Amino acid sequence: MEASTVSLENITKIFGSKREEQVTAVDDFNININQGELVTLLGPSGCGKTTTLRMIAGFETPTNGKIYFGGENVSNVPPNKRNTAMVFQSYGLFPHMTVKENISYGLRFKEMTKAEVNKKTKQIMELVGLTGFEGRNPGELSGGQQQRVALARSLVIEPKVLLFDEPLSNLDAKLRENMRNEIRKLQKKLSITSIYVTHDQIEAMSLSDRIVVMNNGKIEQIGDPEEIYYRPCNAFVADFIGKVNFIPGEILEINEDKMDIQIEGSVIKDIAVNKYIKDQKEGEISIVLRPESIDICEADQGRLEAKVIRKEYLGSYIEYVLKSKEENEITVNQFNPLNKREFEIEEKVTIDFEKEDLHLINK
Amino acid sequence: MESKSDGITKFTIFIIAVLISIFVIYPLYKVIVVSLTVDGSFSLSEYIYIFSKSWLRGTFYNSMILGVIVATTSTIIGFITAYSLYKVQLPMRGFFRQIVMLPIISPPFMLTISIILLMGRNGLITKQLLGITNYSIYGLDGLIIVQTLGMYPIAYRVLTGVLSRISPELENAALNLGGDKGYVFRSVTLPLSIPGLASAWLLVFVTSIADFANPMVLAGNFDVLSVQAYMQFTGMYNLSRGSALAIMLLFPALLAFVIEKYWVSKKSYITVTGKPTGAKQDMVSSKVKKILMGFLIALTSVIFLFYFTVIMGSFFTLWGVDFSLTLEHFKYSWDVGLESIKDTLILAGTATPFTGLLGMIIAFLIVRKSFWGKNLLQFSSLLSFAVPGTVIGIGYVLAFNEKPFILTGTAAIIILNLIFRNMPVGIESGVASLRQIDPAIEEASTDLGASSAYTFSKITLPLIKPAFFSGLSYSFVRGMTAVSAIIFLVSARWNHLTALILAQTEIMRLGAASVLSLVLIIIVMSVFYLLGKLVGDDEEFAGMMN
Repeated sequence: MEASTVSLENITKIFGSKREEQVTAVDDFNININQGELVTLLGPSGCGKTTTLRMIAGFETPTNGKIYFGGENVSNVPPNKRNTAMVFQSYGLFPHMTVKENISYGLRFKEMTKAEVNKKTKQIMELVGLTGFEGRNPGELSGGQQQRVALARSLVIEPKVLLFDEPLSNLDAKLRENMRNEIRKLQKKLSITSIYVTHDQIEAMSLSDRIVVMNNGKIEQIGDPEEIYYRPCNAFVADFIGKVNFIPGEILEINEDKMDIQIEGSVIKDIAVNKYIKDQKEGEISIVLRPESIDICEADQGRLEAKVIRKEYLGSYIEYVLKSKEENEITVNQFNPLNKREFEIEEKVTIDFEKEDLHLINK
Repeated sequence: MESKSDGITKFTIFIIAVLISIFVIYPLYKVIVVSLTVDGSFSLSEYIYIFSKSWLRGTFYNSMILGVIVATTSTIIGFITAYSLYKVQLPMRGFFRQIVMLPIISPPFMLTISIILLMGRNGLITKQLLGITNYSIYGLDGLIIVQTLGMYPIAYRVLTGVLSRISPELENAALNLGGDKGYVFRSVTLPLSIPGLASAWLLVFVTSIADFANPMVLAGNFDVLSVQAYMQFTGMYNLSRGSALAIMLLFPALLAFVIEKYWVSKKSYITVTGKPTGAKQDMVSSKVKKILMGFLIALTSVIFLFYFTVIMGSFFTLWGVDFSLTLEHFKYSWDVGLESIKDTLILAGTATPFTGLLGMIIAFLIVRKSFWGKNLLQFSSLLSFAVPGTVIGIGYVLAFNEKPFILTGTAAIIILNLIFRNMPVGIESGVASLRQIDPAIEEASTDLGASSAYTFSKITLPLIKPAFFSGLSYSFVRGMTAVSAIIFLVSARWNHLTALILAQTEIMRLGAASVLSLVLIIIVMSVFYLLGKLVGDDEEFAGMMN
């Protein structure tokens, strides 16, 4: 198989022809996707992720910019000649065809003998676990099975690029997890360059080689899941992915790649300077701290004083919402709570954390 | 979601735009031009003449009066019928639902033949039963009766759609909050039906003023625009005056159509409550239920009476004078009618598949593609629905009687007329059913490598098959029963059955007219039945499409 990288260069999409009705759905989008890589476009609804995907498939034409598959400019190639395959949110199965006819549909447009078509269809149905369902109609299948048909139909044509448009959002939670793992397994096994759109951050993290976080048509950050989670570039990304505390702080002193900061009166020394704040030399900054990185302790044992204002029992952990001395709300997760001291509402507590867990962003 | 057009799509759009320009827009343009041309130069004198002469001015008022009355009576009957059959649990609902739609598939003047047989000078009711001889059914009274009976199904159909989409949950909620059944009707059901009522009223109004066949036979001294335009145009050969009268008919019809399309339908609430649902419980008291049942029985009895009269009319030697049974009318009809029946089948049969296919293609373009001039295309393709047949008939005569399009006297002119007049029915049902189909299904096909033409024929068309066949059925019915435009276009070589029936009715050969009407109804019903069989068991994937 030839290398099928995908590059988007300055892709911009503006909807609406009249000036006053124009909406910029995607704004100057740039990315290079490697052969076999799975990249997720993640963001709230209306952020332009689906539009970007549809431009890659060819259903929308970019207002500006170019799209390359394996170095070849495909911006003006119609969708049926692009050799992409999309798995749609609603699956888009042909209701008047059997499972087998659905899956082999894309092979009609390839030069193949009937025997070859049958062989390929059979292989792919085995691969996704649909053997035995050949003669059924899509309407007679469960949601998960329909999803497999959609996946098989896309895989069988051996597309250069596999596109997923929130394919799991119509499944229940358990099934979603299974399908997620299966998609990832198949995609790795077949090494197909894939672009996956979702608004579900867990899905994005579990599936992706890299995540592109989008907002208002713009890319906020591109990075691997860990980077996106622990080293978000700004408050939007931090807040969109998982729960997070933003605690205001102040820069006291900078020594090359370390800085001393002050949070609510206590000084924390030698925190690593990251690339997002390296230009800031003084003044206020925001400290990103995940709830699971914080310990809740008895009064006068930790770094900062606080008071419990709410708590919620969530099975594997208790989530406390605290109010600090300077009126900042701080969420703390206490894991495996069974044999730990449980704190009461209104109780005075302190919190503690490792300074390596602090991530600094611009205020 | 709408997608960009590729080469084939662009070419199709271009061809359709050209066809619509030639066969919808151009004839209308010719009517306007001719109405404004006197002795070869521009002049308003025809319009001035029409308004200065009270007998001509009167035709306009008469058309409007008739339209307003019939629209009102039809809407009332249509609403009561729809309400009884979709909001109340009455016995034999399925049976009633079939019968009340019957008038929509009959030739338009069949009811007129009936009413003449029943209440005319030798009428069964008037002369034979009551002994009245000085009563005349010819005029406004008769027209109101036959038009209402023939056109309430239009209102009924619109209102059925509206009422069945008002979720019973809303009414139950209102009951639950303490309203009694009468109050719930006044405060919930009726207000939610108002846009539907307005729509129904306007559609019947347009149909009533455009009606040609009934007033042609039954109007007596009550002159209406459609008939007078025909008389002036073909009888007096006064092209300008005929055209001017047609334009005066066109304006109110277009106005009503535009109000319906762009104002009333926007006010509709039905989208809020979603899918059609039947009544789960009665929303009326048992006393009202009895009244509604009585109403339905009365209505269906009248329909049966009218049909039965035509059947009997075919067998009696001379209605009102000699009630002995005979097959004479059948023999006579065979002699005069066989050619026309063949012609009509060829004409309607040829037009139907084109109408259906063109309708689906246009519906597809409107729903799924975005292109320049789309709204214009949509408007002009639905336009021929609003334009009265008289206007379009005159337009075709004027437009296709000279170079570059000489079509007068050919089968082509009638077929083209049928195609472009009936296309909107197919478009409407195609649009409605395409909106139900997930666009991802078509996109998936394209994405997997299919061209847009392949996707349309292998994916889209099979999925909208029910709409396609119902479009076919209706265009066939309308093709078989069309009069108002066709009457201008028939020739010695190509006659249409409706034109023949009309001629027979005018010379008071009511026996033959009855026979020919029956033949027409039987043909239409058989085709309806066959097409219904074809669509038949496609329900299995209907669930997927919602």
